[in-house]
Amino acid sequence: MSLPVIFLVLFAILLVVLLSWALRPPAREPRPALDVFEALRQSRHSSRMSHILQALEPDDTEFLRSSGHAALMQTIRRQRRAIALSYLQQLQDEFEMLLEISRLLAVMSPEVMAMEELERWKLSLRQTAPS
Amino acid sequence: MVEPLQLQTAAWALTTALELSLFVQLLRRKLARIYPFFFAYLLSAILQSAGSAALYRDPNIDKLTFWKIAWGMQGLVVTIRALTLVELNRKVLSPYIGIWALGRRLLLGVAAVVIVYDLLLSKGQWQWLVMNGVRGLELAMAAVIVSMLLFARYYRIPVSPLQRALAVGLCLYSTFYVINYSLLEKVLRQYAVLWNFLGLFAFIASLLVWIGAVRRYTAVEEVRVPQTIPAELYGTISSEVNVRLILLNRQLMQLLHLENRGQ
Repeated sequence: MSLPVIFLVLFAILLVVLLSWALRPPAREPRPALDVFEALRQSRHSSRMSHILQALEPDDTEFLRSSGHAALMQTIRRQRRAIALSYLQQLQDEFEMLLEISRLLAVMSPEVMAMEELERWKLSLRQTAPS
Repeated sequence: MVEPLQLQTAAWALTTALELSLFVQLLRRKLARIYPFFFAYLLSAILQSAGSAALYRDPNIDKLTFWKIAWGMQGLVVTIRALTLVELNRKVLSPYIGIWALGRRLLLGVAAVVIVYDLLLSKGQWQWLVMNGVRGLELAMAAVIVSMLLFARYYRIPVSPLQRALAVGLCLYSTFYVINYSLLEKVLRQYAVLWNFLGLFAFIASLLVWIGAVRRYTAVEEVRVPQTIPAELYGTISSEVNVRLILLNRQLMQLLHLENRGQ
């Protein structure tokens, strides 16, 4: 059997796998349409990014070590990392909310811009890939 | 012990009985009007069964004529199945004008790529062109169904249980046909009767999925009125959302990178 035919068979098997995935219920329930514009007006977590980055810098807590408070420095660093992780989750939620908004808008619009949708598909895939 | 040929005859009888049962239920539930191509597909499958039985009973028919009639009927049934698929896609996506315009182009592109790839395997021989053409169409249909379902899933477009069942039945049969035709019949030719039986089995499974969905069908499934917004508003907000998404993506990556470095 030739390689191109093997590709066809593998593609057919892949389709069955994708079919079963596509039929699974979505992980999150869609937000009601009325929430869309309200959600767009909500404050952005991304605006606090500089504070979080600053807090994660080792220099920010280094003076504690030099003044003999190494244990305290470790505790603070641990706490700050926990805060950063929580913040990361908030950013992820904000990202997903924006994707949800864009989907709802596309569904409601009589015209859809293919390039912008493509850009969002790519971003959406990029975000789901590491998780 | 039951001979494979007897098993195949029994499977054929069962298939025809299930086809007729689905036919009656489609009429009783008035679904023949809502899904006319699916109804036509079922009718063509019933006629194909009857035609095949008549062909097998004719002792005077020569091999080439048999081949031409059999593949002609198969081609017709596959074409009507393709139209059923178009009908299904329309039903699911067309209430959403913008999505339908985008989805139509995407699905046509997917189908074209798959068919062209498959036809290239024919190497210019017309017998292979017909047979590979049917296989290409089957694979393209499966690819279109899966793309449509993924598309609907991404945009959270509701797919009714009946539409879902139609999609699953069509896709499973098409993928099985491709695997059967490409792999099993060629590699394990000595088990041809068994593989024919398995092909029928795949169709029986599809028929059972459809019968179950038609039995559970309620008219409420079809009622759906999507809200609309002006295209300009979509354009404005869409661009803004994209900018915010790109910025957020950058920040997420930056933070993840920092987090990984810290561990």
